[in-house]
Amino acid sequence: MSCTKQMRRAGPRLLAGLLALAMQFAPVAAQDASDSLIPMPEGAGPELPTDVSPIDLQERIDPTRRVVAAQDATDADRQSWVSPLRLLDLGYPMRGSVARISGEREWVAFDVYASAGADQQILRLTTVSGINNLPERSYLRISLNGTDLGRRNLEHVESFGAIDFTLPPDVLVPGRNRVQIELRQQHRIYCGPEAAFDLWTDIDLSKSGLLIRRDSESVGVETFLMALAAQATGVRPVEIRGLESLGADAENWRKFLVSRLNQVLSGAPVAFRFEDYWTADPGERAHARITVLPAAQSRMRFATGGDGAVVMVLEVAQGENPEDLLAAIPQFERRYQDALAPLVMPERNIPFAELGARTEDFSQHYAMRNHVFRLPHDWLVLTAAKARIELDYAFATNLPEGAMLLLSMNGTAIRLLPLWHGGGAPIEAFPIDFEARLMHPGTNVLTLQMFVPGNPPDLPCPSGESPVLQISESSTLHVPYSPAMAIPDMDLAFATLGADSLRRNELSARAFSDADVLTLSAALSRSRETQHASVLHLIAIDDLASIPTGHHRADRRLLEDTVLSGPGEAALFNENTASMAQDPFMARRPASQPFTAMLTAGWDEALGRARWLRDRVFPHSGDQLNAWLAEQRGHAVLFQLDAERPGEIWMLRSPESDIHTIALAIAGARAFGGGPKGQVSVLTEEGHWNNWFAPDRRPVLLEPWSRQNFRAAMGNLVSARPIFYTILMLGIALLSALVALRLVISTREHKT
Amino acid sequence: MNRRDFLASAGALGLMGLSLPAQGSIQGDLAQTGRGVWESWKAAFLSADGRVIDGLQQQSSHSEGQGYGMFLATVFDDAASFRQMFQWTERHLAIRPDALLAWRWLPGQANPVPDRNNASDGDLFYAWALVRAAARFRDRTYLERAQEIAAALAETCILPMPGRSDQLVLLPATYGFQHETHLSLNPSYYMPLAMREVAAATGTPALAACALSGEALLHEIASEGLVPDWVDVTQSGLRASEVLSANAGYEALRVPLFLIWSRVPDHIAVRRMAAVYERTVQPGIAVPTVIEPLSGVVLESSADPGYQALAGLTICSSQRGLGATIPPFSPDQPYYPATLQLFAMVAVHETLPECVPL
Repeated sequence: MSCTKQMRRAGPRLLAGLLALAMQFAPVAAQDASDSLIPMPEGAGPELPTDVSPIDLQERIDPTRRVVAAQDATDADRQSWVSPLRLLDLGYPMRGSVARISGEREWVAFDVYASAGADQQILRLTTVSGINNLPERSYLRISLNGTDLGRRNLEHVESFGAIDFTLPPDVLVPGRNRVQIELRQQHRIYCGPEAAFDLWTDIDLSKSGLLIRRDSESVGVETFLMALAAQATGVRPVEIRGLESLGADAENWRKFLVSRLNQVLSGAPVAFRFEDYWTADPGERAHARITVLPAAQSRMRFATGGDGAVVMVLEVAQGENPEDLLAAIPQFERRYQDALAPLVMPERNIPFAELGARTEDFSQHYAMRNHVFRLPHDWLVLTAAKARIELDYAFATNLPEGAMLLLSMNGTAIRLLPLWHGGGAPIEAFPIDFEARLMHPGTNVLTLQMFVPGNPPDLPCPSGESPVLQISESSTLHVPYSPAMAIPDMDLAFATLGADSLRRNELSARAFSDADVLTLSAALSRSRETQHASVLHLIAIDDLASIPTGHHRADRRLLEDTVLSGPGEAALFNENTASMAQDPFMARRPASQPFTAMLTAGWDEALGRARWLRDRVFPHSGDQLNAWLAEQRGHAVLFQLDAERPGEIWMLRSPESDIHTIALAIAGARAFGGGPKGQVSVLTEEGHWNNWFAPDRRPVLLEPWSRQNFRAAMGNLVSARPIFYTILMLGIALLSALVALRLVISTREHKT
Repeated sequence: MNRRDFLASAGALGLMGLSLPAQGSIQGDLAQTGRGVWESWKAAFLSADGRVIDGLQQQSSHSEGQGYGMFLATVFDDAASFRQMFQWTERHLAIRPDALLAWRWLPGQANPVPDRNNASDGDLFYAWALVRAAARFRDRTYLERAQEIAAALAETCILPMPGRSDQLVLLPATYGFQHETHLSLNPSYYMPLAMREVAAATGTPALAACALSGEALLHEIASEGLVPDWVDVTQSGLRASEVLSANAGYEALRVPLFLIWSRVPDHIAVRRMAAVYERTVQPGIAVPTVIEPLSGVVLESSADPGYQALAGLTICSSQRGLGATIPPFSPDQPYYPATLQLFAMVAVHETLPECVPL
């Protein structure tokens, strides 16, 4: 039956309504009919079928035609996820989410977040150890909030494997929990410090932590923090969705969220990315995200997203202050992750305990401990004044020859204590004097390294070794008096960088994307705000001319080489430098020169010495800077060459560098010291900061001259340019002598 | 916080972007904000020559897929992709003497279109895409083609409901669904918004009347339980299909989507499905895809994000909340849920801006 015929039977009321409806739609624009896009069908169309095949119909109405082949989604969906361990010491080498712990005996501290409602009975560690580890004698011991959870051998050698610890009741608390792992590793063949360097265990942090059953969690702020930690593991960015919907308020919220969420979560900085509401699956399951929705009234809630991610939902009214919205949640209170190192005041004996060091027994063959402390920013000693460590320690008798304890200040060895003579009794207040000028205003690092050779070195160490060295927390550090003085150094500016410190111009936008700036901002957000935040200028290689260099003359080509050489080229550079030094032909080459060449070489040598003398008398940093730069390769270079702008630092990065590596190094240096100092600092491929100090920088007295400070202040001034002042004094003395001589001669002349 | 507050605040923030149709949302122009999702869909399911591939069904293409894809191309302002799909469809499926399309094309076969029967939902979406394209791409030839299809649909697939001459039904195809004692109908073939827009733009009032009847029919079906994949209509009324799927399955999943999209989110068919979703769905976990209509017992479920998106949209529509549990789009799912996920996205954009994914 024709449908049209049936329509004719429909009532006029219906037709009238439909026509009225049709009038609501505007006709589409006219188009030239000749511009037809409709291709003709291939061949002449066959006649319509008079009936339909049952087979064809069956295929079409088959209810299974949309079904995907047996999805075993149930088990997969109900699998547990991990609230991961957050490594607190950013100094450990990281590769993605994998942290490497090396050495015979190490203690590593982590945070792990827990919620009140979740079913959390298992703490899992996913590890793999190096082939040199002897599994039978290598183990880890773990404690949670001070409660020992047990010990397991490190048996996963070829591939990652899980080690589970069952949690006793009432050990876990909602929110942040402290986990400490003691790793004991033993070499399967050798014994001694060299063997200790070959021992390592990798921990996959993304798969290590509290096992959470997906269906056991109740979504709340604690669950969100757990999920946020899981999302941020391995520098995976956290998505903030819909921020642009806030219009003019978006930027304010962006800064706030990046800053606050970085303060909330311990460990490595959290990176973010900003998305619209509609996104394609990134491939990895998201654990946490923040979704912003414009609303008439502001409120915050936590929900589970369609993909299972824990979502912090921010319903934001126009003009809402972010601080006000999050104020009701104590977990989001402002918290600083870079707890400042203890401040050491001069002229006091400061016990090691105040530096954060505790009495420790060492039973390994190699150990290194760094103790970070701060000196006041107006403390400065450039003279030969001595600082003193009074060490309380004890070591075992009959240690093999070569056993020693090395103390270093800021990387410079200050004392080597042999441990193979005597021993067996406590040694109290052993005096170790060292030059105070090895310390800087701001952060300093006192390093203790212990070496005990294997006995014998070519067999595995015996099991159950007893302690060989104890260093007591009652040991003290004494820092001498300094008048209030300062010397140009980027350390102070680096310490006061904040989330708003970053500056970028049109040229540098090529070298630092928005995401890069945000990542750096996240790293800087973790510190407490200062009243006078310094500025970090992000610059591109094309914009080197914008760096104020003061009187320094940095060679642009050398600077480019420093950051433009990739890791491969840097390795080649190091290799060439080393091989040239050992090349016997290079050493012999001058001797084989003819006489004229030797004469030229001698002249060059004389000129070189003359320049050396000139540099000492009138220190001029240009050549020295360039000579230093020629030996540097790294991810990034920081400059502060103009002493007139002490609150600003300029940063140049390698195009191939990973911004997360740079951000991590910055965050680590601010929390644990060893960061950029001086006038130029290079972040090396290994993650260390190599610093260059201008030889001609001059100290400034920040207080009035007085009888009390004259000697020390003058000493600093003279020590900054010793040869200059020596020659100056010699000159004055010579001049005085000449005048005196002239006087003597003139008074004894016979007048004829 | 309710929908009115949300819309008011979004408006106050000056974020109600204009798009086609003239309906604003906080997302701005979906052609821009959803571009990544569209490109992902195209990469997964659209061949270079304009064929939308349904991998689950023997890598075939069908009028439904071509119509769906072309409609999405208009949403994302992708004139080139639209033209490719249109040309392929005209060349391979527009092989009937009337203006309608053969329902399926099978690759690698001597006769790639063994069955020249049509599918009225495919024809409807094809015509709707052409209507939208005529406005979006300012090309009247598309509208002319839409008019032909609309007229042919009205001619061959719309007829009075048995026993109720004042109501019209949409046959699933020209052939095969009219029986001596009853008609077999697929409720998910009713897309009221599409029917009304096509009716208005092409001057085919039968389609608009059928949309009205369709909503009433869905109401009547849903008053007994969930809307099933197929129903039989007899002189004495409606009954569960005795031969075809009587479960609320993969076909019927579209019913709440199309009703919400058609701005009737309070329809009982939506509320019925929302109640099941609210009872069974946990975000991130498989959602029901086949349900026994009367008892609500879940017979099958799927973790495909597209089906989760339908559940998220339906729940959000029912609860009138802010934000929906719609997962990110994944091209790793089959064509059908992937396309429905994009439809959910368009529905949110056009009718429920507060139901953006959380």
